[in-house]
Amino acid sequence: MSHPYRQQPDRAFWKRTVSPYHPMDVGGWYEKRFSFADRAVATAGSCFAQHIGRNLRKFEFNYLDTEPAPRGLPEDKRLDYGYEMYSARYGNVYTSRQLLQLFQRAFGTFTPKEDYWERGEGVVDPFRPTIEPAPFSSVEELRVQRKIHLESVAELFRSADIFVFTLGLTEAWLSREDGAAFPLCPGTAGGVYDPDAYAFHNLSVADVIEDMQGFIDLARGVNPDLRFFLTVSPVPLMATATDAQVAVATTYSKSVLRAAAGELYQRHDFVDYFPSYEIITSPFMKGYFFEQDGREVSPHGVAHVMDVFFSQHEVPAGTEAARRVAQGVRNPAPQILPEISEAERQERVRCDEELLNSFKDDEA
Amino acid sequence: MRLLITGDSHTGALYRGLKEMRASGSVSAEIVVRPLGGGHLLPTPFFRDAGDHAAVVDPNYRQAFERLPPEGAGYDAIGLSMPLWPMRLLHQMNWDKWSLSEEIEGRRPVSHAVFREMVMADQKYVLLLAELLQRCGLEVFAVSAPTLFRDHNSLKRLPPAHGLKIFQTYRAIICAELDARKVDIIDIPPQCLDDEGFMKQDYRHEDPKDEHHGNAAFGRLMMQAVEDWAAAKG
Repeated sequence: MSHPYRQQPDRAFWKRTVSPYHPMDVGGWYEKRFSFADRAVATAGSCFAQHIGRNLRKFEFNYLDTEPAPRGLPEDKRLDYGYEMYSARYGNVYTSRQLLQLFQRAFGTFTPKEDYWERGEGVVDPFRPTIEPAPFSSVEELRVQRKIHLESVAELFRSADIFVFTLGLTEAWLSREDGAAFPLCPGTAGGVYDPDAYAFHNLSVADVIEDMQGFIDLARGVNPDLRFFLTVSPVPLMATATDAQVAVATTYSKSVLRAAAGELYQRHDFVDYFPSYEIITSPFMKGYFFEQDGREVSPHGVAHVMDVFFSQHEVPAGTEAARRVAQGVRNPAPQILPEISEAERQERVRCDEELLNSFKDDEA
Repeated sequence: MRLLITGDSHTGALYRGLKEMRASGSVSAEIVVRPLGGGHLLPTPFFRDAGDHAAVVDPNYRQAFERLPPEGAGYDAIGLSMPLWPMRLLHQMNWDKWSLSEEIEGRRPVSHAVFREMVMADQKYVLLLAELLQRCGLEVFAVSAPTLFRDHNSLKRLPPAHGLKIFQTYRAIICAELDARKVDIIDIPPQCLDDEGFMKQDYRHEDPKDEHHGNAAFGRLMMQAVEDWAAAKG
């Protein structure tokens, strides 16, 4: 008797894929839809996306950073200031609504009414209130930083070949006035919570699909070949604003995001879905990859997820920027500048001369 | 009071100024000016905390001093010509096309907080050295380098006022850090500055090609201020 399951590969069957294996040896998680090789990759999303970006940098994929850190900022301080977290300095983009509006803000089609939030002696950007440890000293400084940031975001969407986005949350805080979506509830990291000004909205599957489809259409409007690589964050909610218990609210949120990602994958051949959520949270993984708090994903979990990723997306060999430039690859790794300018080199020479000439007769 | 002044190439002007003062017999304090070496090495871990002294570990600097304070020299105070020279950071920001929190065509602005982190990284080891020398029982003071001359090469690619703003902001950050550590500052005498805050050409290095060091006249003014400081300290 013939039926469709007969043609299915082993990975379609639980008994052949999961049951006989130790959880760490379960395979067949993912087959790539398109290659990352020599393509400029940008990342954004909730916390878990940071791991993906960090690994792409580490293994010298063609990782795009349109808002790089100044050289003089010590490496161990860069994340504190939102540098090298993602491909631009937007901080965590938790919801599909935030992502859509980030694009619209970058291209000037949406200017939220909410300009700044006060915090302590300074002000913060409502759309990335924790991008620096301390608030900006003035509204003017905030606006200067925001302008260059949004220019960098626009550059990112124009120049990326693949946009990696980790869907994190459905719970959103919106301005009642213009629908602006904030990453954090007003009052938690700046501003003042006012129920007449802000509304809580728990995005539905339809909302997320609509936001993401809107974003995809806009992004491909400026960059027609842009591809999307979606993941769902396995990290449970830290807190919920719904009446539900936090684990129950987490299941709603992740289910919505997972369903929306699946729908987008079905709709478009330029959208890939990578199952980091399933690798970490599947019941047979027995929670191995969560830390004691049952929320944070352990480094082993991240490593295992990346192993699955790299099993399909080979780590580029011989990846130095010069070779890429020679091959005419679009958006090669950033040009490595000489450590010092000619002006500084000449100045060092003058300093040496100054020391030699001044102290030539020093008897000490 | 026995004083040692050491540091970067700006010690050259101090040394020449001191020589002039000695020639005219106007020095009473016992002062030695000896360079450590080029300032480009100051942001590196150039010394090791050896408990009762700083063991100089950078091979270039070791040619000048193997340890600070020098063994058996009996100095009461050490003046550092190190912390008030922002040019390394200005060069870096110029080369990489950054501005300090200001919209300037073709440049990316860094926030004041990020800039502060960069300044602190640039002076991390100098501030640690000051703390260590204080712990060793020495009076530590800072001797300022000149500020920007208007014709400095770096200002060809940067609006001069912005270059000066970077300089002054850097200096203000470090002055506050020195103040917090009770390190006195021998600062640039006001008569050396023009109305905008640039160094007057009168104090520019004797070599016309050198637009960043001060001359002996500047050194003399600074050393007079050191003398006055030493006299006040008794």
